[in-house]
Amino acid sequence: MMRLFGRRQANQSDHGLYVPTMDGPLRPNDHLDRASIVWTGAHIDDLAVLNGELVFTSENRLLSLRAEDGEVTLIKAFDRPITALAVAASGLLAIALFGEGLRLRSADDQWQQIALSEKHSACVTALHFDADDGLYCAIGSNANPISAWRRDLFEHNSHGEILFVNPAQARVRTVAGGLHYPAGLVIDADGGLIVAEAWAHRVVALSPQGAFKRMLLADLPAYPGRLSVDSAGLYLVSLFAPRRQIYEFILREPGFLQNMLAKLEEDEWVGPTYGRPRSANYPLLQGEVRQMGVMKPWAPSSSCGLVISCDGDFAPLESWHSRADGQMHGISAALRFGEHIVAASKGSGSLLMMRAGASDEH
Amino acid sequence: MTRIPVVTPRRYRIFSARFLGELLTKSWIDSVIPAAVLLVMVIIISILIPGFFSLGSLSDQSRQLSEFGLLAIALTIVLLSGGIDLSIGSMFALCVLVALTMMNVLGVSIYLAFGATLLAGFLCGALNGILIGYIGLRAFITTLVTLVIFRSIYDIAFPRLASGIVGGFAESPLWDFIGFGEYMNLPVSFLIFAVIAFFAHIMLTRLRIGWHIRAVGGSRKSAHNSGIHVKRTVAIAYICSGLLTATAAFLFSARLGSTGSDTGIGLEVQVLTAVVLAGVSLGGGRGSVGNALIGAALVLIIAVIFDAKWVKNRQKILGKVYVSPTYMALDKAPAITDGSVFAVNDLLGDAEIIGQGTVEGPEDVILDRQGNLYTGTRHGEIVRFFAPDFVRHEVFAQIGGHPLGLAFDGSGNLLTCVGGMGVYRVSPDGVVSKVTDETDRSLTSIIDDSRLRLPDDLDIAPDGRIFFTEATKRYEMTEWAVDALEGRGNGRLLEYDPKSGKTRTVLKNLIFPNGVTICPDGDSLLFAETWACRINRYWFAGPRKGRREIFLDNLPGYPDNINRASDGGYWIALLGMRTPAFDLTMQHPSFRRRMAVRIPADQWLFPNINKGCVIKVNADGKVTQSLWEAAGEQLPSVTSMREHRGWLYLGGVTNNRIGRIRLAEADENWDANTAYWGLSS
Repeated sequence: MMRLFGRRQANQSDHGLYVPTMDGPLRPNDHLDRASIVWTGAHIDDLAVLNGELVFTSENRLLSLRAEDGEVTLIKAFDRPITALAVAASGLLAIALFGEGLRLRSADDQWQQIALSEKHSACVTALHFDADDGLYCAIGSNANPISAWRRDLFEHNSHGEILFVNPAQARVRTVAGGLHYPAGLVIDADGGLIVAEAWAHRVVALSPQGAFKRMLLADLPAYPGRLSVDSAGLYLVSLFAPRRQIYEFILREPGFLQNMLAKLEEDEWVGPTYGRPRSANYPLLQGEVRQMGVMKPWAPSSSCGLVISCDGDFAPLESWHSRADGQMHGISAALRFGEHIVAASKGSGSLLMMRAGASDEH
Repeated sequence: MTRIPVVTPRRYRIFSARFLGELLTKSWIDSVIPAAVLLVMVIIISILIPGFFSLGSLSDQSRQLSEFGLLAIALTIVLLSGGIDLSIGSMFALCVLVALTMMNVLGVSIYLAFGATLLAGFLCGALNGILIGYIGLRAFITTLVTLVIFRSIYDIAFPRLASGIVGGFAESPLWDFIGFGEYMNLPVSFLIFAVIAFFAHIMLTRLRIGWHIRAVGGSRKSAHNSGIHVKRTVAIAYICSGLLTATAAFLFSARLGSTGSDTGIGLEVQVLTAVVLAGVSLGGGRGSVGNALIGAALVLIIAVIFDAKWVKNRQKILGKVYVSPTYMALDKAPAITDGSVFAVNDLLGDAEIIGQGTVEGPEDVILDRQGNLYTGTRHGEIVRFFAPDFVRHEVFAQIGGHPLGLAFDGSGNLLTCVGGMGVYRVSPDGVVSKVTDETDRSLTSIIDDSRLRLPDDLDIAPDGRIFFTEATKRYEMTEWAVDALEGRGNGRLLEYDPKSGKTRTVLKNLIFPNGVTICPDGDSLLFAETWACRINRYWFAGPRKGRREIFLDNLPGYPDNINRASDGGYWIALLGMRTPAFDLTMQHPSFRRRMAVRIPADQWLFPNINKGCVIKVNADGKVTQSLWEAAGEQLPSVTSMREHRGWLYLGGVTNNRIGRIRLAEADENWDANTAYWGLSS
């Protein structure tokens, strides 16, 4: 009957208030919380592998971790935050500096600077080299800086772009636009683009020219972020924050939403977060009430940790979780590193290392 | 002027009403309306219950329809003969018992079992038929009596045979084929039913006995005058009913292989509803097998819709429309950052923990003159921890509901507000007695608000009157916090006078009135309105009697219990903190209502009751101190605190422990019992 007579205006419809449950390969576990923590530091963000070493970013620092002994060394510190990192097969390394643009380091340690426009440089979410050292660059939104990603979500924006940079000529070209916050990017074996559109909860395949090819993952239960692919062609999807019905609901409540954005500080908003909110002013949901001293693992927390591995056709294989009672939330990047899977938990500021396939044992 | 008669003749030639008129002479026209209703119901059910017309569901439904349809035909035949058969439900149960006893207990062949079942139906029908047809008793009374007789036989026999029926197993492929088999994609029992229905139709419309039955039902006198053997015809109708009922019972037994004490109860009413709904006349003479079928299908579909869509969803619908939020604009909450008297600190951080894991839901805590500690638990007990170390403990009293607010009277009785029950008194030796559980009912309330639903806290005036709050009259104990979504004045302040034994409502429309404490002047009291974040003062005696004013407004959190401090001020527990987002929702009542309707309760925005604190105010209502636990893990939400001899004891309704801290600047000899009632005699 609801279907017959219940149709109201679009933003009133119950359609879309549903958030898929995590089941099958996505069944929740606590593998992220049981992973070994190899490094801690606030704002750990992006990861890459260069010459057998793990390279990662933390705020304005570019660091590397030696596989044998786990020693961390500083490669270079910059005067502004690094928002994304990529390494090419040739050894070329690229970072995005907030508000400035790209910096590329050649194999012989020469740094090259490529400026991006202001609206692009403020929101570089992911970088990826193609086989010829061409650099693809995901711009989450050209309307908000990367730090205001929550605002971008609540503004219903689809102002994301994919840029292509030819380092040799320092030329920047827009490949695709109008994307729903592309937060992750990889190139598949055929040179096609694979993009995680966070606000649309999906991963899509685009042609090298940016045309939509097909849907790879749809209706994810969390917001997908960075992607990585290993030598065997298996993908890892990092999901940086959970979707909740209350957020979907608020997205459809323009009156309340506008007031919230206008009148409240950002740390007072109802919405997804990387880590457990520290502000005493962050709102609570009924399911998060601590009962008898216990926070339920299935509480609808604003943050969670989730990495999904997928086969070459993007069929999910397994997943690593940190639930409401865990700490390893806000996974900003994950990749295969030798026998291990390493993941950056931005919410807790931890670099995690897990044996690949470890979840099969449980 | 005359008009040329051209149009009118043509109109009548083409659109004559003859067709309709002749249509109405057909006997099956009676069935058109029920058939149309059935069609509409089928359309509705296919929309409401998406899987209803799947093969699996249809197969199951058609088996049920077979049994129910046979009973409908049985009753139709009796109604056509001008009688009524109320006993078919009991007859059905009895025949089921015979069939199952034959198959499962005695293990005879299926043919013999079928014969025995038919014989049982025949005998029952014949009893009705002889009593009504030949002896001429009234059909209604007679079948009502045989209903009771058959049912009694069933009730006597069933318990003796039940274990045999359940334990036994019928080894018959044919039996299973009837129960579960399919032929040409149609359930066997449905095919059997279809064949019987066809022959019943032929019998009623084409054979002499059918005509006789209709004639007798239409007019006994005319039937008699035209030479019909009325008595025999009536008896035959009841016997037909018995045989068809037995057949239905046999199909039912084959399908379920078991029976229960409620088999057949109320079945006669369902069948009667079906046939009457489909147009079989209760007066006799009018009706058909087709009517019976339509009625049976209609009633089955209505039953399915009612069951699947209403019974299963009533609570859901109630839950969705019950929450009724209102507009409430609070001022911007005071900051809880450095520089504010509410600034977060860690004064509760090193609290001693008492009874961790042994008490669940210690909403309030209180100490007696000997320094023993009492608290209520959600298991419905009052637990006593013995001084001085509070390790040894016992269940002091069992009440049944969750004891919330506690207070000692002058004689050492412990009074408590019990969620869902009322105000109770526990004597020093642990004997529980009710003080009050009702008040005067208000005139405009739909729900009966005379019973106390959520008494919350109480205190006792010097003259012995008990003042207590009822936090909300719209929600139960377990869903108290949902009341916050409404922000409406659902609560009240009540007074119990021991002199008259009467309870009356003092103030109503309060926004979750919670903690209450009598001021040292003995004329006034303070009470908290939790969701309104304020403390009120009310004078119940003295020159300002009846006056109410705001004592403390715009707190940064939700006040719960209030108790006296040794320095003449008060302690106030804030069970949770306001958040700007929730405050904003209080200005969007329709947003909250839609939230309650459209998303599950665990994702509703909520007051932050995970973090609370204790504040201290002086006698004039000025906040002088706040005490926090920074981590919010030991004592996340404080609902109560009690000062006693230099210590502050802390309870929390969602917690499983009690805390206590040493107070730096407090009178080490101060004890509330002495402050209230003087030194003990």
